Amino acid sequence: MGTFAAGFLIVWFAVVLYVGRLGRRQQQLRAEFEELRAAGWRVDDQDERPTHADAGRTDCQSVPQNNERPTRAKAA
Amino acid sequence: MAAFWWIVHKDLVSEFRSRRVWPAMLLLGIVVALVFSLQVELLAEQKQQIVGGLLWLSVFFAGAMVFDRSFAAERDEGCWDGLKLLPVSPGAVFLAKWTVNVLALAALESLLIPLFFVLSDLPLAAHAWQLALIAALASPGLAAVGTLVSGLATGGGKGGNGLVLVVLPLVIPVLLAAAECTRLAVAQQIDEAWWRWLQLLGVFAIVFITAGTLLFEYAIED
Amino acid sequence: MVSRLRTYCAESCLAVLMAGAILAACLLAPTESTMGHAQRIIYVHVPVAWLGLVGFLVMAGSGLAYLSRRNLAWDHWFQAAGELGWLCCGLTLATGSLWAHEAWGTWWEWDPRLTTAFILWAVYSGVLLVRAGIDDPHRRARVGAVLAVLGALDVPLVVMATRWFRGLHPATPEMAPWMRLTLLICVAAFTVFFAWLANRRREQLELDSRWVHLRQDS
Repeated sequence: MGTFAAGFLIVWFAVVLYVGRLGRRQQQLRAEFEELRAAGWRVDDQDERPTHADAGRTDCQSVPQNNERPTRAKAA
Repeated sequence: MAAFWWIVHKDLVSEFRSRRVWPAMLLLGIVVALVFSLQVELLAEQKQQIVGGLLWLSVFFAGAMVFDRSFAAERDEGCWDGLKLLPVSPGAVFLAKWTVNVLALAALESLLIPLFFVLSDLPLAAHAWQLALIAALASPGLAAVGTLVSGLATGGGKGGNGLVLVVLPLVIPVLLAAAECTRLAVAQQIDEAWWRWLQLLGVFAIVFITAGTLLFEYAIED
Repeated sequence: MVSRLRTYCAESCLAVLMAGAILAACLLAPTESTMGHAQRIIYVHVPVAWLGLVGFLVMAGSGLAYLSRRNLAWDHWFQAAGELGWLCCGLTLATGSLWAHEAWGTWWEWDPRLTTAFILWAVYSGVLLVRAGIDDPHRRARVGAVLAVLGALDVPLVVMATRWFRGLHPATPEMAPWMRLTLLICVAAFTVFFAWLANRRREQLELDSRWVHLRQDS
């Protein structure tokens, strides 16, 4: 039983550490968005947690949809 | 086709004139071979078991130097953009650079294989054609991965340094297969297993030459 | 509000599924005759091994999608799948070592599957490390995509080479029906968990990307 417990605990710790890291970064992002809001930038509340409905929205006045990169074909 | 031969000719002539990379590659190969041989004091039978692995590891480490410098001339002389703007398919450029690297590996192996056999006191002449066949099939695969990754690295200054970390795990099938083939050849076991390992070398070479030809365009983009 | 409620419901279901999988592994599955309770580690080892491979395939697929579409959204999937796949691959090695110690009395054997997992982990590590050193998001995406495609082509060859090198891995023994069911439950639960975690990480990367743009403009 010890082997199974050890294996399970290793996986559990790894997941907890990873999720903890995600959570810390999420808190940092929240603080950073708050800073921008406080500095007067129009940042939509939805930005805190984008949903599928938000894909492709550009509520923020200054968020360019820079996901697309022009290719040689487009440039031509 | 003309561009392919032009690039091969250019690189070979440039290397023979400047002698920047190949001598260093050969020296590194010799040093690694000597260090391996110094450390390993074994009976003849045991040496037969490990000479393949040590030989192909040496080829890889010395060859990595050549791959790393595949596009160095273009990068250092400011011709990188010129190379990308050549009115030829990127695949042809990749194949030209790959050919030069295969020739470099051939030169390296023609030195290292006899050296290893001399240092291990194993008969070379008895296995010459088998070893030549192994080298002929292993080098293209190694060179294909090395050339493609080198193109990726040259595309930008930062972030290219760790790419050699990725090359070694990717070429493990080649190194394993070449080492096993060598071991079986030295042990006079040219049987079904030996041909199966050779086939793996061939498959690896075909897959990665094709992949390199198709992916090179994306590797050298801005 | 509705979407938040839906999210909480989904996450609760996921928690229940994972709890069920763990209970099944501990209580539902019968004890194996040779290895005893130590055998239960396969209910953790097999799912993470499966996810290590799935992560790599998702990474390679996202890379190809990026190369054809040039949309960074695909790169966010790439990064999320890469991180989780790397984690799962590492856990495969760790849990595999534990199992090896019970089964073979040694922490490591050049068993074909362990060797393949190790090589896969090394390729994952290389790709993620190289990407971490590149600042430009499009260049990072492109380099990652090319390397992941190379790695994906390599995996079948690695599997073949390692199996021939060490002889065929012993055939998996027939499992009792309850064991098989427990294994399926665990694989399903871990897969859903992996997908959920990858999606959350992807969303976070999207936010990161938006924040970088906002900051550049401010």
